[in-house]
Amino acid sequence: MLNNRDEQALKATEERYGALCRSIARNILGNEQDAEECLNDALLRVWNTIPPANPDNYCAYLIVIVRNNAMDRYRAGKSEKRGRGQQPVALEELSALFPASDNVCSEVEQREMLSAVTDFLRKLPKKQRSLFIRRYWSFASYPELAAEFGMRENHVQVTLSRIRKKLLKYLREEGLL
Amino acid sequence: MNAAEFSDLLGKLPGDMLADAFQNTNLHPQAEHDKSAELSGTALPVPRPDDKFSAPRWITAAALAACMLFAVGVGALLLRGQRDDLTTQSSLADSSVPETVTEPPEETTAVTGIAGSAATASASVTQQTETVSADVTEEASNVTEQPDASETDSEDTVQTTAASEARQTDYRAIIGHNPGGVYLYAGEEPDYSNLELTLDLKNASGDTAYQADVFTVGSGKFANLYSLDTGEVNPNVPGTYHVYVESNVGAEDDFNYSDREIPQIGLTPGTVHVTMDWSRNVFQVHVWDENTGLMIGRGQMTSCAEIAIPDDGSEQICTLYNLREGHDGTAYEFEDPTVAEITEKHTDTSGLNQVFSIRGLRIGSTKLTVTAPDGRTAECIIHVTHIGF
Repeated sequence: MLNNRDEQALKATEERYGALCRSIARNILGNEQDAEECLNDALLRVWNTIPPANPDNYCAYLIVIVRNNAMDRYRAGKSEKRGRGQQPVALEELSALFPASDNVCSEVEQREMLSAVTDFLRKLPKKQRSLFIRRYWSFASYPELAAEFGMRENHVQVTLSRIRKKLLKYLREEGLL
Repeated sequence: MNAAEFSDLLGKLPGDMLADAFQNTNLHPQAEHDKSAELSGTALPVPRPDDKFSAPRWITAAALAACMLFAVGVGALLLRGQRDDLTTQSSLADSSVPETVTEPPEETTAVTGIAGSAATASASVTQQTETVSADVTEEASNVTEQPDASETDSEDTVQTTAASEARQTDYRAIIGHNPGGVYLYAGEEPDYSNLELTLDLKNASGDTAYQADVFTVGSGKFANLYSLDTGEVNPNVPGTYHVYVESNVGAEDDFNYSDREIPQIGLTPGTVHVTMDWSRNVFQVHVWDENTGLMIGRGQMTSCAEIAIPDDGSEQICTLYNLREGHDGTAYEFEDPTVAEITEKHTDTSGLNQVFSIRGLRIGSTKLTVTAPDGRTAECIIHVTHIGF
């Protein structure tokens, strides 16, 4: 539909993925209004980029745009918004794995790290992988994850804690930490 | 790397993995693959890595479930037949007496036997189904070594917690490390004393307490628990070398743990006995030529002529190598200061280099020139670009 410049595609996109996109933006920005603007920006970007872009997976393409957009907004106004979204909390959890370091990570090292993390996540059971991505990619809250995955909140926390430990161990074994 | 950089890195996860993670969310309907193809105009479905493993096993599991239902059904029918017989007998004897009371003992035994075998069959099939599920999980995860606490019921959790809170003094251990490296000029003696190592403890279940102790090579602490292999390093020839730190498998030692209590593995302050498992850590040793000029790079002594920076406002950390001295007097100058800016700079642990951050201000390119107080200069082209999907 987008390839044919059919404006109904945007409406259909919003109907189908709007809630998901708003949720991602809201978790990062902690603000309903910003999340809505973020979604609108993302839809505009989708309209402007497809075609010529021809993503293999439209949903992934869309949510990546939403996340990038929300992260940009967060960084631009982080002094006002800090603490309102889930992002700072999730980053705090990750900071136990990656303590602040002066060490510079080269582009090659970043690629290796991404490859290792991708490899690690692919080897996880699907439920754990989804939990990790939903928490640390889209910064979903514990209650949100508990509801979506049919788990108790403390089980979500325990599971994520174990995944983080496994990731730390894995990255160390790979010589990346 | 820190948490924020790691989070940025996660932003580059493959699209199929992201789509898979969000597929079952209740925030959008199912079958989004088909619909997304329709919306975007592409008809290529994204392969899902789990499918090839899960499909045949689900079929097997479904077949087993069908067998289970069949067994239960047969059991129920037999049971009903027996009960019909009994009812008929009891009707003949006394229709007003409930059948359960009128069942003769031997008949009751027979009925129980049938029900019991049906239940046994059912349990057996259920067990097989669970085994298959466990296999699927195991096969899909090579890194999953421990049972998932989230799957245990509350009673198990209580028991586990109670057991784990018991004081434990014997642990397996490995040597880990904190980031670091060694820099020196050719002809100098390398100094490994500042390399920072960690002692990580594991209990019998494999739960790990990372960084139970942090120490430097120079402290001499736990020297019997690891070996430092510096054989690769030639301090007289410029280049990058590696130093390996391997734990001495089976070596034992006692140490005084003084940090906070970690009840998950029963670790409390006090004397702890450790036995070493295998582990290996690598540090880089950079031997420089005295005549090496200033260099701009992005870590691990990689000199860069060009550096790309995202336009999303995030900062790119770079290093000015071989500054030697005069860190305060170093001048950073962009040919076009509207493209990028320096946001932070500080001396690294070796004291020879200066770490600095660049932030892109707008899409474009500009030349960065760094001048040291002694007049040496380094140049690098900075490209601020959109690094997106």
